[in-house]
Amino acid sequence: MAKRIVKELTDCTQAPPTGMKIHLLDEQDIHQWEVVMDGPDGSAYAGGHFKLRVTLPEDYPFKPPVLNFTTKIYHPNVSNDGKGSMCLGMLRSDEWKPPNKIAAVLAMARNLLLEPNTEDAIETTIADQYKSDRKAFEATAKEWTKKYASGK
Amino acid sequence: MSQRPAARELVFCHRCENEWYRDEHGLQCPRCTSDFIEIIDEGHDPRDAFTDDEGDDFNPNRFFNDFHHDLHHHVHDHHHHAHDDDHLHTHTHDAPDPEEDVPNSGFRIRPTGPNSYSISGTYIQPGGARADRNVPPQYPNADDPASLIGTLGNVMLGMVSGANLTRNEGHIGPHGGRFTYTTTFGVRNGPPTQGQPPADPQELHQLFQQFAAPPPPFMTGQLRVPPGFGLPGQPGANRPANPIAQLLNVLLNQTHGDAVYSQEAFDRVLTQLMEQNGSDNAPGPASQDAIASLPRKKVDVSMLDDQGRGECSICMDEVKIGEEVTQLYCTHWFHGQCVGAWLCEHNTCPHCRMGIEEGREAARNKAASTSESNAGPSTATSTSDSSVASDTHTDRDTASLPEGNGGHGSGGGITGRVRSFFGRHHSTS
Repeated sequence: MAKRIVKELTDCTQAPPTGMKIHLLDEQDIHQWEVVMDGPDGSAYAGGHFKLRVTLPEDYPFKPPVLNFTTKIYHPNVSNDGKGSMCLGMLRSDEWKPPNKIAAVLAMARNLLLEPNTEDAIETTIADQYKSDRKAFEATAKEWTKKYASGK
Repeated sequence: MSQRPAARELVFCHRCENEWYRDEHGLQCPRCTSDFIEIIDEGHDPRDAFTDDEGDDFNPNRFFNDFHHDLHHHVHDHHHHAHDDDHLHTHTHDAPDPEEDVPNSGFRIRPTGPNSYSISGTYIQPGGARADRNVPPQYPNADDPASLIGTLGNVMLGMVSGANLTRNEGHIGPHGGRFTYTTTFGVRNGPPTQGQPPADPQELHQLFQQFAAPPPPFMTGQLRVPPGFGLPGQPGANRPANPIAQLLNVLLNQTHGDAVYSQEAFDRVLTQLMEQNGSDNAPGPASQDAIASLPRKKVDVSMLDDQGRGECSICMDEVKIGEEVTQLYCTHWFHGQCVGAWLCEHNTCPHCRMGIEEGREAARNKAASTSESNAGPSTATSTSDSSVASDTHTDRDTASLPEGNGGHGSGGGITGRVRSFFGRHHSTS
């Protein structure tokens, strides 16, 4: 299925999804993509440039890709453990469908920056704060954005 | 998980002892890329050889520690058997009710001389005199008493590693459905194994004596005591808990540490791993027959988009009119090879997740009710969207999904339409 990956990559580099720049982490390896995602306007992440790693398994598209934020981000659905794992429903192995494309996955991820999903949070304390004290949440998220995601 | 293809070939790597399914990773070890591999055959399981070999670097301490934490659970279930006599009746751990349980095998350890001990196992063949109930037919060792007792032999070798043991394997004799298998151990002094303290034969004798003796009643109470907290002055008090319970545990679970001794145990580990990987709700694989019997059709104009283009949404290769594709009963179509690869692991449509079996039923019902033998898939094509059209539709959906990362079945709309088309409810997972 390398052909499909190349095709998706070509599509993504020629017509990148909104607010993203996509390239291979290593030109020799089509299974490791690096994405720079702009924080969506209107979110606490606006102005930030977040780096993500997309790892495609050997049997992609039969198995889902894995998304990791390599830029630290304060978000209920991104693990704050140095791995930056992002939990997306559609990436769970029992939800994944081969026709899903990486561009769609990334669009979903960016949408999650706009609207965190507190029901399916990996960082439950951040999710609780998001629900109970939105101001404090946004303050920290903005602070982290400035601190970690304002560079190039 | 209810269905499995009849014969999935399991491949074993002789270099790193990795195991995998052939249809997933082929004939090269996915871990060490070695091609010194073997397809595991019922008649010859190369892993047996490895479990034997591993006796040499078996760490008894690890063995004890590994087991200790589940000991009391098992003995709680079994101690009433253990008190009966010097036979330890083992029974299958899956049995729903211990009271209903019929022991289907038993073993005993006894000294046969100053320096030797024998383990004999009695096994009752399913269908034999005493095996009238509760003998699960799928229990892999049920036809192989040698393996059961051989397991015990391995365990014994492992526990006393550092000493020299001879192992003589006895014979199996059928007696009206009963089989007895005996393994004899001779303990003798020998040069210490490098890197390990030489085992004290006295200590081994003591250990074996413990096995040979009927378990004293206090042991059941003692099982909750962590290793090293045994009562002083009692033989083996500083050994963790009841070695007999450990043997029982091994026989019942056919596993210790990372090692497993039966296909059943291996399957269980594999299932557990798969579940840990989050595929617990994932549908099981479709049968080869079901895959092979899916309808094929040639791509026609109705399956292409406005620009006259179409692609297989799995490999994203363009398809041309006249090309043969496989169409599921939900009307989604793919290259036969592409969808086959998916169906080998999940019996649902890769696109809408409708079960392929349900779809077939629905198509049949539909055909029966309208008396049109060909009603199902082909007429459905014109009313339902083609894969390409729905694909772009899905992309748009996911990109601008209003309720955030719903993520749960983004093809819901399509599924819904398919459902209403067939006029019945399908649950796909």
